[in-house]
Formats: sequence, C-alpha cells, structure tokens
Amino acid sequence: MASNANCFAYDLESEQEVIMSKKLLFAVCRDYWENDQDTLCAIQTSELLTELHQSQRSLNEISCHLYQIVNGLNKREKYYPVAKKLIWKLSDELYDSQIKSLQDQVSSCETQQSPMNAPSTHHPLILEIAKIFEQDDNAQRIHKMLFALSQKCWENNPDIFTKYSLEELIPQVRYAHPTLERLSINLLKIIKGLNKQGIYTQVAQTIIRQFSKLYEQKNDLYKLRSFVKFSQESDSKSTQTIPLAQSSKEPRKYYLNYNPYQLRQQIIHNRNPLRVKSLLFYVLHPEYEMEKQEENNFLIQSDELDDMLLQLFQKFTTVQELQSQLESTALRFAAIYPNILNVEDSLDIVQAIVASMKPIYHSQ
Amino acid sequence: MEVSNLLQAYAQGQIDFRQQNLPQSNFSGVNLFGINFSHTNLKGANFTFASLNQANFNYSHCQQTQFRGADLKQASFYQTNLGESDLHGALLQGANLTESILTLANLVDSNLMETHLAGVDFGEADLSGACLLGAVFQDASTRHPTQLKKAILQGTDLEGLSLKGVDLSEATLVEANAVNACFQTADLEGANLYQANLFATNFRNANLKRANLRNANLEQADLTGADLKEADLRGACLHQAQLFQVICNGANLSQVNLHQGKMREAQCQGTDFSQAHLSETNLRQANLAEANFSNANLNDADLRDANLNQTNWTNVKLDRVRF
Repeated sequence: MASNANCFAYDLESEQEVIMSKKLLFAVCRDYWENDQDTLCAIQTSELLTELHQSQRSLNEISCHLYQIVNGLNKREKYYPVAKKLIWKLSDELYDSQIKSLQDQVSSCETQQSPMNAPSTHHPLILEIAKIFEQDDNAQRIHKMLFALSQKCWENNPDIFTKYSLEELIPQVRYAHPTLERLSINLLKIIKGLNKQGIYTQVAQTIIRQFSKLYEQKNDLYKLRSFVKFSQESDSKSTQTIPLAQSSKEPRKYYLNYNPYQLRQQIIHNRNPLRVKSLLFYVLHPEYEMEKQEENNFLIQSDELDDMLLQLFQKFTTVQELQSQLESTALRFAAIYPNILNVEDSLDIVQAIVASMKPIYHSQ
Repeated sequence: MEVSNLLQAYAQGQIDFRQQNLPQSNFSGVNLFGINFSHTNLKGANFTFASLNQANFNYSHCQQTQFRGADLKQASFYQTNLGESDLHGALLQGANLTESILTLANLVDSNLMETHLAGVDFGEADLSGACLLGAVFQDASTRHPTQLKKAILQGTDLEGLSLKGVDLSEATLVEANAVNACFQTADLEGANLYQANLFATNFRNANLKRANLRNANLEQADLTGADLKEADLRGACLHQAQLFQVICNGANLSQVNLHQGKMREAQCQGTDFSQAHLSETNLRQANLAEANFSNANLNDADLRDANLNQTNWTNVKLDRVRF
C-alpha cells in the first residue's frame, strides 16, 4: 500500500493541478477545506493517500464525497475535472479491485452530474423528474426542499431559491446524498424543523419517489436503514412476496410516514430493549442457531435497535407475515430460554411491535 | 455470603441483603424483585438479564458490573458507583440514578425513560440510541450538576428535555434530536453537534466555545448571551434565531442562513460570515471589527452603530442596508 501511495503521489506531484488535487484530497480526508498553502505544503500527498486508504472507505463512498465537496466550491467547474481525474487515479493505483464499480459510478456521474456553471447537458431522467416536480401541486415547496438540501439552508424567498433551477438542484442533491437513506434522513431533519410538517412530509415522499429512479442500484435497498419504508410497487392485486434481489428493476415506493424516535419509544416503553433486540435478531437472521445465544450475544449487541426495526420492514411485506414470524420466533425463544424471555413477555413484545408498525403498513 | 445461600434465603422471603460482600458474583437471569443490595460490594458481578425491578442498590459498589438486558424498572441507585458498568439494552424506566457515577458506562440502546438523573456523572459514557424521554436532570437537592462530559449521545432523543447547566463539554451529539430542549447555561465547549436538530432549542448563556455546529438546524433557537467563540457553524440554519449579545469572535459562520436573525450587540470580531445569508438581520451595535462578509448577502440588514473597523466587504450585497 505504501509503495502504491508513493507512486501515486509522485504521479500527482508531476501534474499541473497538484495544489487543486491536494486540496481535494485534504478535504476528503479531514472533512474541511484548507486554503492555507503552508498547511498544504506541510503534508505529503502520500500521507493523505495513506490516510484515505486507512479510512477503509469504499471508492464509491470517496467519489461521492469528492463530488459533494466540489459541488460546494465556487470554482466547481474547474475542480470537477480534477476530481474526476483524482478518482480515476485512485481507482488505478489504490483500489484496483473496485475499478469495475467505479467505472459505473463515474459513468453515472458523467451522465447525471451537472455542476453549477459547468457546461453540461442534462440527463433525460433529470429533465423528466424536473418536469414532474414542476407539474406537482406542491411545486414551490419541492423547490424549497431541494434548495434546502443542496444549499444547507432554508429559504422562503422565491427570488432566491428559484435562482437555482430544478435541473441544477436535482443532480446536486443526488450527489450530495450517496444513498436514499442519507437523503431521507436529511429530508426528515428539515421537516422536523418546519411548521407545516404534514404537507412537507407529502413533499418529501414525492421527492423520494422520484429520486428513487436515480438510485437504481440494488445495494441501496440493503443500505436503507433509517426513516424510510419501502416496498415494491408491484401488482396491487398480487399478495405474493417479491424477493428483493429479484425486484431491483421494479419501480419502488418510499414512505416517510413515521418518526423512528417515536417508534422506538412506543416499542420499548415499559419493555426491555435487549430482550426486544434478541427476538428481532432471530427473526431477522434465522440462519443463526438460537441454541447458541451466548455466541450470538456479541452480534445482537452490535446491531442498533433502530436499524433492526427498519430491517423488519425490509423483510416482511405484510403485517400478517411480520406478526406470524415474530410470534413463532418468540415462542421458540421462550421455550429455550424461559429465564431470559418467558411466553407472556415475549408475546407482549410481539404485540407492541405489531401495534407500533401496523399504521405504517396500513398507510401503504 | 455465598450466592447459593443468598438465593435460598431470598426464596424463603428475605429481601434485605445490605452491606454484603459479593464481588464477581453471578446472578444472571435470576429474579430478585425488590431486593435490597444497598451498601453492598457488587464489583464485577453479573446481572445479565436478571429481573431486578424495584431493587435497591443505593450507595453500593457496582463498578464493571454487568447489567446487560437487566430489568431495573424503578430500581434505586442513589450515589451508586456504576463506573464502567455494562447496561446495554437495560430497562431502567423510572429508576433513580441521582448522584450516581456512570463514567465510561455502556448505556447503548437502554431504556432511560422517566429516570432521575440529577447529579449523575456520565463522563465518557456511551448513550447512543438510548431513550431519555421524560428523564429529569435537575433537582435542587443534588450537590453537583449532571455531568455528560465526553459522553456519546449520537442519534439520541433529547426532545424537550431540560439540560440546564449540564456539563456536555466535548460530548458527541451528532444527529441528535434536541428540538425544544433547554441547554441554558450548559457547558458544551468543544461538543460535536454536527447535523443535530436544534430547532427552537434554548442555549441562553450556554458555553459553546469551539463547538462543531456544522449543518445543524438552529432555526428559531435562542442563543442569547451564548459564547460561540471559535465555534464552527458552517452551513448551519439560524433562520430567525435569537443571537442577542452572543459572543462569536473568531467563529466560522460562512454559508449560514441568518435571514431575519437577531444579532443586536453581538460580539463578532474576526468572525467569518463569507457567503452567509444575512438579509433582514439585525446587527445594531454589534462589534463586527475584522469580520469577513465576502460574498455575503446583507440586503435590508440593520448595521446602525455597529463597529465596522477593518471589515471585509468584498462582493457583498448591501441593498437597502441601514448604516
């Protein structure tokens, strides 16, 4: 790794855009923008590369972070090609095993990314989404939300937020949020600070529904951990469950109709969170033997309760299916470990989970 | 006393086991409802998944004790030493932890609803994912304010809680939900509040020196008299926030949204307001010496009687500004 970083650094040092590359590398490693030449000179490019590699972030994550940084710069049109080149160099020298996925990423960025002020033509999908937003009853609210997501501030003055067109904001928001999960989290944060939360929840749902088209990688389904409930928008008459792996090309519906803090509160009110987690673990991971509870303890504790609750949604498409699986697992667990979770308590947990989640299933 | 003897005595109806010496004892999965372990040495004992509702641990020594998944509803830990204890996923609803020591304790995903936490020392404890709904941090009778110094409260729900005067210095509150919470006079020096939701939160006279408030939502927050020296607020939303007499010398407020903010008499010497949105902001009598307003929008702002000595006005928008 060290020798790779040195070669790479040497290669970069020979380039004209050495300072720009270094600033970008610095920003992606340290999470702040440094303009001071002395500070930049004091650190070797190879050190930054080693730091970047040791951060164990995937190339995909790094490239998204880089584009996010570039989008926030005044001279983004100048930095954009430097960032692109930097990613290619990283892929060649440091992350060669991830080249294939990177190619897809860069190609996707080239077609969809449209940095402000940079000469570009918009991707047809972005134009299509922009048109849908423009025709929506809440067009102005959507514009405000996208502006807030992109510029990190709330703006009520249409003279200001309309200076950024939807065609500009959509790709900016897409690349500032590497996953739909991150987008949903930030949407929810904005909503929580607003007065008209009901209307803006609908607006957020519209945004997520349309943005899901821009996140069509299967992995995003599995990465989706908080705040968002999704299901396949399949034939409404069919009750058959569609496995996630088979449905990556299906259009998806996303829901923002619950507060994860509230969900957690309802479920653990007067209940033991670790008992809830133990039960959820075996529902979510039937491959682990319940009899080896001692061995599985570490895994159970390393999962966060919020994540586990959302995974339940990912796993079960109907509330009946959820209830049935929870009940059978709870009874089996209680039979093996009555001192940890007796039948009465385990069914009480099942009832609480089902009661708390039922409204979310019913709102589909 | 042997554990087997204790369990036998408990089964026969005895609940008073005060002043016992029971270090490293194993009580995992045992039901000891209402037991009295006050003044007892339980250092390193194992209570994993034990049922200890309404138990009394007052003044006992529970350092490095395992309470993982234990039921401790309405248990009492007054002045108990729980340093480095493991309370992961424990049910502590309604428990009294007043003046207890929980330094370096693991409270991840624990249920701390309606707990009494006045005077507790949570120094460097991990409370990630814990639920603190209805917890009480103040009590006039406690000798010390609650300590959350260096505590981890990432994603923790603090909505509506009163943390007045609490020491949260260097604490991690990344993405925490503290809408309508009260941090009045709290010590948040060096705390990380990155992307926290602090809508309408009260920070009056709080110490926020060197705090990280990047991208935080501080809309309508009250920061009157707060000390934000050298704090990082880049990209934060301070729309309609109250910043009367705030001290933000050397702070970074670039790209903040301070539209209709109230910064009268603020101390902003050397503050970076570059690219900030400050339209309709009240900066009367503010000290803005050496502040950087490059590329900022100050349209309709009120700068009357402000100290503008050596201020950087490069590319600033100043339409209808009152000087």
